[in-house]
Amino acid sequence: MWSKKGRIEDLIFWKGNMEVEAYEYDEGNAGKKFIEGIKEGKFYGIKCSSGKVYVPPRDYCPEDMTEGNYVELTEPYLDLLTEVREDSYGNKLEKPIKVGIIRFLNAKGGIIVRVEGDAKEGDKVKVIKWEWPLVVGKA
Amino acid sequence: MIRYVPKAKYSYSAGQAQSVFLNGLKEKKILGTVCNKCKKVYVPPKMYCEECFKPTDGWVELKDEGIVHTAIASFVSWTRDRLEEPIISGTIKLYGSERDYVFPGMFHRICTTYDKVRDMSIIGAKVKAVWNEKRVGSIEDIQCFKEV
Ligand SMILES: [Zn+2]
Repeated sequence: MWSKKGRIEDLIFWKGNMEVEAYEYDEGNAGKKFIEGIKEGKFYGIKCSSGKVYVPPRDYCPEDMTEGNYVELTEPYLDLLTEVREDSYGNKLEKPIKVGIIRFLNAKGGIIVRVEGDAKEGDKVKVIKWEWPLVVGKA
Repeated sequence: MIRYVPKAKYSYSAGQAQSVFLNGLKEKKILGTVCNKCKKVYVPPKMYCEECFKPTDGWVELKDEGIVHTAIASFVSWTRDRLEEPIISGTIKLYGSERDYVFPGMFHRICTTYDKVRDMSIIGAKVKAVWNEKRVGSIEDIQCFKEV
């Protein structure tokens, strides 16, 4: 007989905060260019000698380890869309948050964004707020 | 450069068996699980018998008495400070097993003197739990096991 009750109310939990120190993370050259681009209201990627474009940009092209050239990307589209209804503790959110991934035609990679309005997967989108997290809406 | 302080919250669960055990302490009860096949009693409780590898069969209440199986006096505190008076702790064998090294038991403080640890006369002594007036469902609900 399995005497497990399985009810979360019957369990004892210890909750707390781990003592963790602040850290500094270097975004690298390409990361810096990308962040600067966002501040200017632009998306930068890199174009490699193979013709492939990567977004966000990388420091090196994965095919031949050469440095690519920065290119500006335009006309993002919403590739994936999902809705967050609970916070990480299982509490119901007052208003669901829409989260999606935007991509660009002929470019590899994507950017995770907040989505406002009724944009659907496949729709062309425009950036409403050029700050983190990026907020996009139907173009 | 991105500077960030992670907000690393945790929620650690005592689990199915130990939650019942800790809530039992609130009511001055020492609860264990029992395996009907091998008759082994588990304190601290387990949801499965590690010898038969099957779920345990239910709960049993043990007396809050036992005998001292091992004892140690420590002059170093939890926070590595040197102590004038040692903390004495050890394994308490609760009644209910004929096996020498396999028994329901607890590791806890023992209310006794340093001398009795030094001359080892505390080993085998009969002890009883000293309960706190205010109990919250914690191993600290027992102050110590005291000689009777
Ligand atoms: Zn068994």
